[in-house]
Amino acid sequence: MDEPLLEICGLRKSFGGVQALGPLDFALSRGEICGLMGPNGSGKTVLFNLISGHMKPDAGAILLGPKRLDLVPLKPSQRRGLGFSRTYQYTKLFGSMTVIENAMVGFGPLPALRSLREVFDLRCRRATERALREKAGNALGWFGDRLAPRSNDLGLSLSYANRRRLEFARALVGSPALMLLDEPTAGMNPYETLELQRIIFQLRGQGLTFLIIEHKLFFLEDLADRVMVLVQGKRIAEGSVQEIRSDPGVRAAYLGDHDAAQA
Amino acid sequence: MRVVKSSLIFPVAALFLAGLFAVGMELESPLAVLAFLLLAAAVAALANAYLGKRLRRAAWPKPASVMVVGSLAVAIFALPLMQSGDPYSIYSESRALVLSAMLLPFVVTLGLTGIVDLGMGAFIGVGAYASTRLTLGCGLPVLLGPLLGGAISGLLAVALGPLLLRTRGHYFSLATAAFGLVAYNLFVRAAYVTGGVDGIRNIPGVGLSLVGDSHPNTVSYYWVAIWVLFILVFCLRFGGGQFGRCLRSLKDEEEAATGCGVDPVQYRQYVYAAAAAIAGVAGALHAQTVHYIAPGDFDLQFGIYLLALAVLGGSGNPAGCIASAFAMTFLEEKLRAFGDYRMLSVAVAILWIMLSRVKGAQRRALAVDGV
Repeated sequence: MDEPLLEICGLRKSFGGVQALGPLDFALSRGEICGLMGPNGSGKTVLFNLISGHMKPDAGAILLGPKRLDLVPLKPSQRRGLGFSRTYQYTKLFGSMTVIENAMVGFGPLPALRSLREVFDLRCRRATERALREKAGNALGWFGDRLAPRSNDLGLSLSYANRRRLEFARALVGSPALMLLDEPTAGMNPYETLELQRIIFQLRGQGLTFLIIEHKLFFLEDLADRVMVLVQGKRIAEGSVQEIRSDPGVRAAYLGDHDAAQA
Repeated sequence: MRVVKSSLIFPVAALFLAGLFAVGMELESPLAVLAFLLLAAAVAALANAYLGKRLRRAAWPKPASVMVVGSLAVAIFALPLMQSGDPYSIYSESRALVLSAMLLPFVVTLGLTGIVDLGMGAFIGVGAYASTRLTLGCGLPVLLGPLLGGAISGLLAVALGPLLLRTRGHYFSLATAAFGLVAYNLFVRAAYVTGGVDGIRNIPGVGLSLVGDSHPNTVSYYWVAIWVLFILVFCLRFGGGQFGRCLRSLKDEEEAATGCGVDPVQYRQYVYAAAAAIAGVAGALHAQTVHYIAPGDFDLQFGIYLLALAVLGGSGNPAGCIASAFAMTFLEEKLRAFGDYRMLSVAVAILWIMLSRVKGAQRRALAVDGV
């Protein structure tokens, strides 16, 4: 439990004159579920983009796994194979593909030689397709009958909440050790939110680690071991949901409750 | 059972179109041709009204590619049997097949990854000159021509790719256009290889009368047909499976695709090389069919013309590309009486597609997935 899976040291990112993130130091243990909160523009998604490689940091290191491999010099496509995956704040599904195909892409590319062989070897491709379809089907299966019966519909024909579930499933297919979820419950009603909570809890039981951007405290309440709050790129609070809820700085940031901040 | 029934519509439609084409090719007078075009348009509209829905349903979520390739193969192989055997008609049909082969690279570039390559004419030229020089000049067997052209053109793309693919979107298109211009100038200047502006004449084809008393043009037609079908199968296999999905994911949502581990530059490089290799094969087939090549056949304008035709066929839809190649050849052959005004028909057709069918073309662009 205490073995660090992800370690972030002195990470900084600015856009022009605006310091969007950091400097931030932060560590995530294996099997932990950590919530990430903060008002709009506080740098939560920037942190995700830095970890997944879609943005380059100005300074700092992102160390992954027991070997403490630094991700910063790697391209986003190279990072995926190292055992983490993410979802996006605005869902990014593949519009030309069906639900199951969307999930299958999550497995990532095959080795080049294998791909080449498959162009000419019918049987080889059929075997791969069957295996991938099964893996993707298992990932869709986590969401009960919300996605599986729609396997052959276009991904974009899904409802907003189901698109989020499909992104989650796509991120699951490559069997990652760490998942970064960007507002996974947006567009879901309270009942569906609790359903997702249960799924994440079960996945953690299988050894996954989660970093979750979320605004709904009741979602994080029974789920997160720890919550970190960012405001203007800086950590202003960290602790259990109870501690965060009563933290005057957090109340001020979210509600503009300046009296509480001074108290 | 229903699925089988509804996909039988493909071979029926393909054979019907081939028959229509064969009938049209026999017409002589411009008035008869115009009447035929009107009739064909009416038939197409009727067929669309009655069968369009079924056809689209059969093609969704994906048609069995065996069915598509099979239908096209039957139609292409049956075409010469449906006519009186006029050697010039067969020659025109070989040219239509060559044009199909020239459009198929766009199935890979435009259809799978959405990159717009304006310099395809250059790769076709490289394939044509390479195969001609190696067979006519160095004495390698004529039958190896397409393979040699494809290999050399593909290798050139492998070498150029890292340079050109640093750019993206419109900039990439402009870079390929620049490459097209450079290549055209090289074809003109490097006269000791390419024969300069005069080009190369008397290029041997495969029209040896191998089969009984068949005309050389017929042999040539089937030779090109086999290559077109081979390229078609290659395109479908290339765009299928996990590899093809990763390619299409780049076109749909690049950021999410890289998040899934797809390297955009690397994957575009594969596509660029594969398309160039196909273009090289097409160039070699062109040289063997027409027996004459000159730089003017492979200039930038030709590359843009091909791109327009590929869009007309529903970019990424191989069957559509073949259909549009045949339709264009027909118009060029049969509307000669109208001189250069016949090119207006191309413009009108493209405008029509842009205004009315853009969504349809896009929706069906993805339609064919691997076996």
